[in-house]
Amino acid sequence: MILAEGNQKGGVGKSTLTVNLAAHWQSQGMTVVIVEADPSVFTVSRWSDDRAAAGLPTILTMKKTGRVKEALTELDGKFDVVIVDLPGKDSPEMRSALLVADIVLIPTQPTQADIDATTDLRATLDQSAEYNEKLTIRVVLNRVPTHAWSTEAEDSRSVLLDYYAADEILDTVVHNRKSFSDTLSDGKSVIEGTDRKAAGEIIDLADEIMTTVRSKESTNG
Amino acid sequence: MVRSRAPRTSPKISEEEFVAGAEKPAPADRTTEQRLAERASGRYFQLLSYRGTEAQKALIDYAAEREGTSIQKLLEGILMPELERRYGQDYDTSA
Repeated sequence: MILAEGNQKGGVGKSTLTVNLAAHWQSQGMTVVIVEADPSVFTVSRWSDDRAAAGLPTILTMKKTGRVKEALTELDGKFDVVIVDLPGKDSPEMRSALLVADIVLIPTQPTQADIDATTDLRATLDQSAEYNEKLTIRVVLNRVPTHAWSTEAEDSRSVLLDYYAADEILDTVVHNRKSFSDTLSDGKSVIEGTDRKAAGEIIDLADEIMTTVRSKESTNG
Repeated sequence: MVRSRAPRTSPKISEEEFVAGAEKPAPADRTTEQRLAERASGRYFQLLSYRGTEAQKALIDYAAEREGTSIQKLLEGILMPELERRYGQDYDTSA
């Protein structure tokens, strides 16, 4: 499976979700590689270095920028899961990844700027689907406030429904929890931390993604 | 049956053209109002010293008084929308 994580805007939490999903799937016995496709950001590779320094199970991480289609296709034949962490903008990396990805995960925070960027991305996604019929599009609401009376998630979902089908917006919502930044700086995932709520959200997200991809594979034969 | 509400897009181009499309400058497709609002956000400072005749000054004073606003707001409200309409799309700093 090739999972592309991207948005047209930076700071939506792509890299954090990338490393946490990778750590979870690897802990489930899958072979995982992370492709860091942002030429100017090193969040994933630094996390990987911190992880190795902490003596935690390493996750193969490689840097690849520019046209990534062929590299991803090659890796897809060698690993169970290939996660490509894309730049926070419309880029050759993003477009070439969309040509071969099984699923594109679009993290978006429940803010006007993020929702605008996510809705603006729709046209490019539709264009990508003309070349890659297997591409599945999924949006995940990320860094949602944890307070009970917050309506940001539902408000954002309502706006997104004008641009994305209901099944393209994942049921799993990832909340803004300090444990995500704390574990990231230690080279850990929340799965390896003490915040069970955060870990539960990553597990739910990973399961929802995997179920989506497998369901589509079985439909397509 | 759930379906995407988004319209399908343009005629097919080659994969390479599609990928290269990300490297092209974004088209200045924002509305005049959007550009006007964005350009008006930020620190205000003395832009220029505007020269004119007594009669022009009197007209400005009269217009500001009739609108119940300051000369600054009056002129900005007339000048900037027109500048945006004429030139703003060609000088879209967000593109």
